[in-house]
Formats: sequence, C-alpha cells, structure tokens
Amino acid sequence: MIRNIPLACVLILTLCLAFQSAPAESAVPNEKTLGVHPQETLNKYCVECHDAKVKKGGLDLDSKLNDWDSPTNLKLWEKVLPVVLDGSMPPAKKLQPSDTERKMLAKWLDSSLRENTSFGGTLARRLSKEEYRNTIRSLFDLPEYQIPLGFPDDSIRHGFDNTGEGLIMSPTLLAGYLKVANQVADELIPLKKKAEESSIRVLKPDDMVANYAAAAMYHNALRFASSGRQIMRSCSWPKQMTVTSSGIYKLTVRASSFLPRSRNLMPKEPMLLELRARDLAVGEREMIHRFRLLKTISVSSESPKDVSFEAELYEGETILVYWNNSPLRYGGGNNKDLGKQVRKRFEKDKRFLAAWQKVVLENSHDPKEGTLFNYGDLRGMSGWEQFKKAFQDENLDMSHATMDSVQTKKLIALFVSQGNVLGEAFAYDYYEKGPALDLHEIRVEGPLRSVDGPKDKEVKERQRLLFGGPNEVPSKEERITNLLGNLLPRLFRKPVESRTIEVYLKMATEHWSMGHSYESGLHLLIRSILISPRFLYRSLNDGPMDDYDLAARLSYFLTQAPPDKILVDLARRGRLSAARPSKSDPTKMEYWVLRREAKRLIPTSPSARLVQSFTSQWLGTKQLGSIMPDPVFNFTADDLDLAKREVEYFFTEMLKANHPMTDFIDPDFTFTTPAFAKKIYQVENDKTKAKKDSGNKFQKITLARDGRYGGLLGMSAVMTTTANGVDTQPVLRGVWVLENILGMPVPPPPDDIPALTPDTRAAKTPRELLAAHTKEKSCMSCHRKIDPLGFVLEHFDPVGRWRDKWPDSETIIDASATLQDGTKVTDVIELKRWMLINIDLFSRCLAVKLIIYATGREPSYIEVKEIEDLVKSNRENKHGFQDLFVDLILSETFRSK
Amino acid sequence: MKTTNRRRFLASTMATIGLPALETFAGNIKPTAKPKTFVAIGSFFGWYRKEFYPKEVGKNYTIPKIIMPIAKHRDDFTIFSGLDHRAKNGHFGWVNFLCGKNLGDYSLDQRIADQVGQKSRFPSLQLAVGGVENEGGSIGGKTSFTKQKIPLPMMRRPSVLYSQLFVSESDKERAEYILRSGKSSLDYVLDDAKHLQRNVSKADRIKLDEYFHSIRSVEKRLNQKIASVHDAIAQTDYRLPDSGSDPISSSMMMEAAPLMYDLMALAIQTESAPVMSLMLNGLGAVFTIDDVPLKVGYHSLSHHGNKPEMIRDLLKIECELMKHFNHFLTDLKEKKDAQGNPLLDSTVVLLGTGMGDASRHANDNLPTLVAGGGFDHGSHVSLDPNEYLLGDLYITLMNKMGVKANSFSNASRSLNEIFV
Repeated sequence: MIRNIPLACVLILTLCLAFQSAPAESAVPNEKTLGVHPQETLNKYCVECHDAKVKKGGLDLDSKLNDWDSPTNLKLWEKVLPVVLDGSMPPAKKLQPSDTERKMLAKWLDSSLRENTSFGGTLARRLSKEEYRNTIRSLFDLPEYQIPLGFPDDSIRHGFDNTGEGLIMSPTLLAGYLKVANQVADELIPLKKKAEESSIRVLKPDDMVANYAAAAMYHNALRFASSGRQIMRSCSWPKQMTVTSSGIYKLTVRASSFLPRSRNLMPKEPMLLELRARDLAVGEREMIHRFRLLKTISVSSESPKDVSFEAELYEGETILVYWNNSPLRYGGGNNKDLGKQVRKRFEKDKRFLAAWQKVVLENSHDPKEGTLFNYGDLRGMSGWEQFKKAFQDENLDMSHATMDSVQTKKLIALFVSQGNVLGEAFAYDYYEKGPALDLHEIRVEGPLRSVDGPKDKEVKERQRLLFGGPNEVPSKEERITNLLGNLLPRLFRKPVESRTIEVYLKMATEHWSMGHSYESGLHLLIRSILISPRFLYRSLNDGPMDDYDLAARLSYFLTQAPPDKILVDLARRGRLSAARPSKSDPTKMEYWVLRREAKRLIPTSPSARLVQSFTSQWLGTKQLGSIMPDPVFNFTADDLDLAKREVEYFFTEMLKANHPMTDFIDPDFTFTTPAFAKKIYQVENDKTKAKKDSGNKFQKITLARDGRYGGLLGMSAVMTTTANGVDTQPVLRGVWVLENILGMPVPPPPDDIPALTPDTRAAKTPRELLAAHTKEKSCMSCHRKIDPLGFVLEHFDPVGRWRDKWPDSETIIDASATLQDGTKVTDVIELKRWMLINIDLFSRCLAVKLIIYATGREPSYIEVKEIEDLVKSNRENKHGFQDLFVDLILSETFRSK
Repeated sequence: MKTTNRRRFLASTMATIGLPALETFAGNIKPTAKPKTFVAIGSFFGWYRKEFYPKEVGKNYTIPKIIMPIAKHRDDFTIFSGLDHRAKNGHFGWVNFLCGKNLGDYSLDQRIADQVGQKSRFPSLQLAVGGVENEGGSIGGKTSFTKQKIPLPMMRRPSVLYSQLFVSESDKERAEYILRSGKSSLDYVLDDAKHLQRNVSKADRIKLDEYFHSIRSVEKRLNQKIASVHDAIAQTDYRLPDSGSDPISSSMMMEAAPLMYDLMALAIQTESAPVMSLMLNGLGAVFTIDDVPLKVGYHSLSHHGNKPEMIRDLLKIECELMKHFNHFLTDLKEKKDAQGNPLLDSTVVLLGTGMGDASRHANDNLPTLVAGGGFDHGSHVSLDPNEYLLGDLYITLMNKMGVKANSFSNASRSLNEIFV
C-alpha cells in the first residue's frame, strides 16, 4: 500500500507532462509571455544565498541568464531545473515561490535549455580494447586473436569503458598499440624460415615415452602388450622430438613379434603396427582415431625387420606408435573388452583364475560391488608380483575357481569397472609370455622436401584474402596500389583519398628500394596502418555523421565489431540513412533501412558481446569475478557463474521477447537452475520436483509477481556486487539504485568533509550507525536520498538470500524507508510497486545508459528530452523493451555525431 | 590461503643475475653518491598511526607494532610524522600520495623519471597489487600522473612485469630491423595524420593532440631502443611460481605483493628501471592471515571506528604487508651492485600514503618512511605541520636523486637541512 503521496510528487508529474506536450517556442520567451522576468523570480528567492559573494554550495546564479553559449552555464541551469521542479529548493525554511512563479521559471528554463542545447557532441574516440580486438578478428580473418595479457585497460567514464572522454591516448598506450601491431603483422606475414637441412634422428626404445604401462622395456626393446581408445595407456611417442619444419620425412621402423607360447592366443591376422602423427598441443586423453594415420605396418616376423615409408609431418607434431590389433584391450572409460579377454583366459586355466581371485578380491574392502578398492597396490608391476606369488603358492585356494561362482563373476566385474588399474597389472602376463610387439628403433630422416603444413596453408589463404593472389598484376607498384585501394578503406572503415594511398605507397616503395622483400613491405604496411589514427579512432570527421560513421556506430554498438559487408555496402550506396515519411504521421520521417538493420543485428543470445559488455558494466556484474563471498554464505564459484548468467539471460529475454519495461522490476520469470532458485531465492517449482537430476539444469523459472524476488532488485548477482562478500553496505546499494535504476546519480562527497568522529557506542544496527554519521546537515542532503534505498534492500544478504534479522543479532531488520517524494514503503515489495507506478524513471535511466554506451557521450538536455518522449510513448502505446531499444537507435540523438 | 611461500622466498634470494656488460666496467666507474633508483610504495588505506609512529623522537625509540617486522633494519630507515599535503579530506586522498595537494598533478615519481630515466630501458614502472582491475571513478585508481596530467596505467600481473624485464629478444637483428623500419614509417603515418587533423572538427582536433603527443613520445623511445638494441639484456634464473595464472584478484594481494617486491629488487639489480612505484591497494579484499580468515574486509577494517577488535585485525594486515616490505629491504641489502655495495645504499625507498586516517577519511599527518639512498637514518623525525609540508620531503628526495628542484606542489622549503 502506498501512503502519503505528497503534493510535490503530483506537481513533478504534472510539470513533466506539461513540458513534454508544450511545443518548442520558436522565439526566446520573454517577460511579456511570462508576466514577470525570470531574473526577478531568481532575485526574489534564490540570489540571497546563491550570489557571487555567499555562493552557497558553490553556486552563483546572479545575472547568469544572459549567456546561453557557454557550456558551463548550460550545465549550471540543467542542475538548477530539477531542484526548482521538485521543490527541494528553496530550502523549506526559506521564502517559497508560488506555484505559478515556480512553474513559469521552470518552463522558461526548460525552453531556453531546449533552444540552446543541441544534438550530438561525441568526442572522437579510439577503439576500446574490446573493439580493437574484434576489429582485428573481423578485418584480418583471425577469429582466435587475443590482445596479449597486460595491455592497459580502458578508463571508465559515466559508467562505461567506451565513452569519448574515457578513451584517451597516452604514450604507454600507443607504445602498446605499436607492439600489438607488430604481433598482428607477424601473424599475417610470418617470417620466412630458412629451409631446414635434412638430418637423421634415431629413436631408441629409451627415447620413447612408456607411462601408464602402454609399453615397457624388455631386453632393449619397447614392448607393446595392449591397445585402447585413448592415446594414453596404448601408445608411445618420443620423449623429446618435435617436428620444426613441415615436410616429407622418411621413417624406418624396426619391429618384431614376441610369441613364445602356443599360438592359441594369437589372432589369425598378423600384428598391425600403426604410425600416426600427433600435434603436441592435443592432450593425452584424446582418442586414437583423431590422429592422422601415416602408415600401417604388418609385423609377422619374430626377428627384427625394417620397414621404410615416406610421410608428411607438420611443424609441431611428433609420432605416435600404436599396436592396432592386440588381443588385450583396456584403458579409457569402458573396459568391456578387457572383461571379455580375461574371461577367455580364466576359462582355460583354473590356477590362473584362482590366483587373480586371491589378489584382487582380498584387496576389495567393501562388500558392495566394485566400490572402495585399494588399487594403489595392484597397479602395474606391483599387482603382477602379487599375482605371481599367489600363482606359485601351493596352498592357493582353488575352491571358487569355476566360471559360474560368485567370486568369478565379481572378479570379472571388477576387471571391467577398475580396468584402468587392473589392466596395467594384467598386461604383464603378455609382456612376459606374449603375444607382444617389440619396437626396436625408429629412424626419422628429413625433411626431404618442404611442404605447407595446415598452418602455412591458413596463412597463405588469409594473405590471399587480404592482399590478393600472387602474380595477378605485373608491376609491384600497381599491385600495391590496387591492394591499398582495397585494404585501406576496409581497415579505416571509410573511403580514403588518393593522397592517403600515395603516402602508404611511398612508404612501401622506399622500403623496397632499400632492398627489402615484397613481404617485408607488406609487413611494414600492416604495422604502420595499425597505428594510424584512421585505424585507431572512430568518428573523426568534419561535419555531420556520414553513412560510414553511422554504420560503424550501429555495428560497434550492437556487435562490438566493425560493420559487416551488408552494412558497408549500404553505406557505400548512401542507403543506410534513407528516410521516408512515416505512414502513421507524414510529418515525421522514418529511417526504415536503419530500423531493418538494427533489427537484424539485435543480439538474441546471452553470450552476445553487447549483452555481456553492457550488463556487466551497467549492473556491475563485472566485479563478480573478484568477489569471493565468505564461506558462511555457501556461495560457490559455480553460483557466482550462475548469478552472472541469470542477468545475461534475463536481459536477453527482455530484449528478444519484447517484454514491457515493467518486467525489469516485476517479472514473472527468471533464469537459473532449480537448485539455485531453491538455495538462494527459496523458490520451488512443481515441475522441477518431478524430474530427478533436473535440479542443475539451467532454465526459465516461473516466479510469482509482486513478491520478494523477481526483477533487477534482489537479483543475486546485483546483491553480491553491491556488497563485499562479507557484509552488506546500505550506502553502496542505495547509490547503486539511484545511479542504475532511478537515473538520479548523486554527486561525489564534497571536498570539505570534516574528519568524522561520531559517537557510535549506542548504535546497534547499521541503520543507527549510519544515522550517527549523517546527522550533519550537509551530509543529510544526499544521504536522505541514498540511505533509505539501501535499507529497503537490507533483507538481502551479501549474496542475495533473504534474511529476517541483522547478522549476529536478534533484531528484526527494519527495511522501511521514506523515499525522496515522501512516499513511505515498508519493504522491497512496496518499493517495487512504487517503481512500477513511476516506471518512466527506470526506463529513462536505462535508455540514457544505452545511449551513453551507444554514442560514447552523455546526452545533452535536448537529447534527454527526446529520450523522455520515447519512453513516454513506449509506455502509452504499450510497447516493449525491444521497441524502445530500436526507437533509441532511430532517434536523432543516436544519428547525430 | 597461504600468505608466505618459503620456497619462493628461497628462490628469490638465491636467484642469480647474469650481467656481462656491467661487470667488465666495474673498475672504470667512479662510485657516485647519487642513488640510481627511486621506489615509492603507497598504501591505499594508510597505516594505523598509533602503532606506526614511535612514542619517542630521535634515535633509540621503542619500536611500535607495525614497525616490528622491519625492526632489524632500523638503522637504514627514517620515520617522519607530522607531514601532509594539506590536501582535501575524503576518499580520494590516497591518490594525492605522489601528487601533492591537488589530485592528478604531476607526480613525484614522474618528475624524477623525466629527469633521470630517459636513457633507461624503462624510465618508470607503475605497479599495483590488490584492488579491482579497471577500477572506475574519475581517477580510476591511478597514482602516477605525467606532466600533462595523464594518469598512467599500472601493471598488476607479475608475469607481465617479468616478461618485460627478462625475456631477451633472441633475434637482435630482427629486432633492430623492426625498430628502424618502424621509426622511418612513423614519418609517413604522421604526415597522413596531420593531413587528417586539418580536416576534422575543432573538438576532434583537440582529441588528436593526445595522439600526436603520444606518438612523439613513442618516437623518442624508438630512438633509444635503437641505440641500445645491442646492449646486453639481463638474464635471471628467478622463476615465478608455476601456478599458471597471476594472483590479481583483490584478495590475492598477499600473494602478489611478495612477487612484485622480488621483481622490483631484480629490476634494481639489473638497473632496468630508475623509478618504480607500487600501490598496495586493498579495495574488495578479504584476507586470511596465518590460516585465520578475518571476519571483515580490509576496507571495512580500515573504518574501525576505534573498535579494539577491528584495530587488532587491521594491524594483522598491516604487519603482514610490512613483512613483505622487510623481505624487500633485506633483499636490497644482500644484493650488491658492481662495486660491491648493497643495493639499498643507492636506492631511495619511500613508503607512504595519501590517507592519514582511513577511519575518518582524514588526510592530515600522513605516516611516511624513507629507507636507503645513502641518507643518515635511524631516527624518528617529528615535524611541525605549521612549518613543513610533505612536499618538502619530496623536494629533498628529488635533490638526492639528482633532480634540481626547489618546489613540489605547495611546498618550497625542502628538508635538506634536516635530512641528509
């Protein structure tokens, strides 16, 4: 229930409405239209405190009404207008103007400000760090490109890292750009390596890796006993051999079979030894079949035989050796093959079975099948030794050594479930008695001839895309002129004059005249282009925005990347800013192409860069990574991640499905896992209870409207980021709501704050503590706006969970507050209801932030008025967030430089 | 969370340095009195004065709690009390540490770097530990400002600092080629840029001035690098701990600070950077010290409101930070320069802050300590704020470093008569 809506609140609303419906006056209003000169009103009520001498609050209003050209003056009046409107000035104790006087003064100020502030004003700004990275990725076809660690971050102004004021250039930064430019040039035009001379490398068995008992040394050979699906446990490779030059190599493999026992165990076919190529960057858990097969060698002789073949090996690779068709197979997740093989062996030899029973079953601590297994002792050689001891024991218990006994069944099951361990021991049977495959030596000779490896091919393809194919035009100069004619407009994101092309052409030709290669010239061009202000800066222009700038602004806003081919083409044809009279109101122009393109590029996924970048800065979730909530809150790193995702999914849904703006405050949904919803929000949905194991599925969760949770206030990520992981801070949260939800930022604390030593001994709750500190009038003026909002949110602990009492006390939290307009609320639910009634405040706040982010500047007075009109009509026409979003893009504010 | 890593401690004190060029000239260089390096270490939240300032003045004072960890070096440092910049009170006071009275003014470290650092590999290095990356606000967490009042970015990753100091460019020829060709191409880039500047709006032109100023500076550096490309670059067998990522989150400040100190000591030893600053930030940090997690964050503790248990925990943090500082001083005493003198003798170390009493956001009476540099140490010097400003101490430090200066911010007296 909302009580006590005071006169002032109604006054504000009527005045606001009055201003929005009044048409802009063509002539400057004067005393004739108002009845009394505004200067008189000021003199009567304001100048006593706010003149050049007394200058209360640093404000001098005496005779400042004449100069509307000075930007400082404009800012001054922009600050005065709201306090005239909301009645906070003159202070309650002083003489108050009549309603008419107040209204007239405010109206006069509003018209003058509209008249004298203009659209536009973004300062030329360099690409932000993220924009730079995406520009490189996009324009140079380097999708994996990352700016190296340690590159300076961008400064934040007006809450975002991409405003013109914040994107300054310093010597350190430019030096950083130069370094990065070199790296990009190296990536595009790698240094030609000298052709490596052919050499022979001999790999002996002890040069090969033999971990996880994939193979073991026996009589100077590397003996393979098993195979599997992953390269670990079934392959070997050289310990220290990496191919450094892609080329054709000759490999000679010397191998033999080890078959001392009867042939019953042998497969019918000869042993097949595979040689594969392994990129060392790929890990050991990868499946064999992922690696390129070089050759399959048939091994059937028991004395060593050499087999030679030629194969292509690429830079960064080494050789894998693998016995394809061994009778023993284990390793990886599923050891069913091992189960089959041990069964075959057990069927043929009772003592063999009995010995394994003893060794394995005695080490199982738990009667339950396959659990609690002390395998440390049974791994590899150690298990094998125990087996041999049991096998040779005269008193070995053979009573259960039948195929249908419980013990045998259990044993085989353990071989399947613990195959990685038991297989390693079991393999020794094959090492000692065969069948096994012996590798004696591998000889690698080469490179016999160079070839292009996959990376080389990628580089060449990219060069062809960027610089044109080889030998298409005879002369070097012509080639470069054509190249620059294509490349420069692309990289500079607009057409270039021939003068510019000539400068770069001269640079290249001078370089070649010194004897450097063609490629070096290209390398130099790239390095230089990337530190030109034409590359580093956006919107450097004389006059209004052209279509290229508009395309860049649209693209960098919605995708943080340079315009794609469609946009570039539209810009080239001058079609992007095409306008026609609107069907509904022929006096208004409709920018229908811009609308179409905006809708095409609007992000639809929570992982979209706009969603990530904007929400993390607007709502402060950027800091989430460095906040480690105290363990007492039971909020894990996974929870932090879920909280962040909730914000991103929520925002995306609001945009994609065009929800009304009120759903930002009081929606009927959110996005998280049922487990998180239960843990933090104490919300349980029936349908999630039904399916087991869906507790961790990230999904849309239904919420009841008009409740504690739902919407931006009370979202875990927001509550966590406005606390410090240990305790809540009402002032921080209050400031956050004012700045990011209500659009009423508070000025920083004044410079002359005295050192505070309040008496806080009696203060028991944070409310009382804060009150003790803010008793001073000059503190109160801001804190009476900040603190109440913080207290309303005190029910949310530092991770967003509801609590009824203050921590470490039995006092119930008092979340009541009196808002700026006098409304009294008792908790967050009532606060939300108040916000719904005043939803334009929030919409305006978000719209202004979007404009700052999109245009890189704070909107001027007249621009804010345009935004307010859009917000109002959005609500009146019952439109949604996507509609507002697109309207902002079509606004004059967005389209002005 | 472990706070001190013994293995890393040992690794750093035993790290050897290879310096072929310097060694051979040892006999020819006359030892000069002028210190070679200036290091400024700033604490964001200041120091708890009651346990920082000794009760007695002069030598033979009783060591207060926070000074305990560095007690064995008492003859190598001087504590100053009573000095400040007369700067405004409030949160942003800590930035004034090196700037003086006004936020964002030409900072002490940059003044020194501009005078003595132009021939070095790195005229100055700005480092920070703790705090949040990309802190907002108008100053954004920066403490060093150029003459043009541009805030300088700070390095927070030990691995980046390491790679700047020690990774040698194996292909010197290639490096030289890149430098020379890069420099000559700058003329062309500038030519085109100047043409651009003539054809843009007035507001844009002003923005582009930042670019031109920066590129002139880059040009100068390229010239220096070309001149020094064949100089020996330092090698070391010190290795950063192998955890795979830098400890840059705010609560990992206690892990990051020792690494930064290690690297600074190595930089001093290799004469890589004549001026360095290290900011001990603390925003957002919640620490575990000696395996006991503190209940409240560093920031909250700094607002102790005179509650004893808060002060006790605050002191735990400040003593821990002093332990790192102690290790740094020990390092500088054990490492010797080419003439066999401890590095500390030729390094001026300023430990200070811009925040006098964080609990009240008051910025008067800033706890300050100076170590090394060949000064006559061992005392607690208590000065009358009506007579002296902190800037006076800074003038003395500048003079010691060979910078001719007789004013700094609002100070023009210097302490040259008191502190030599």
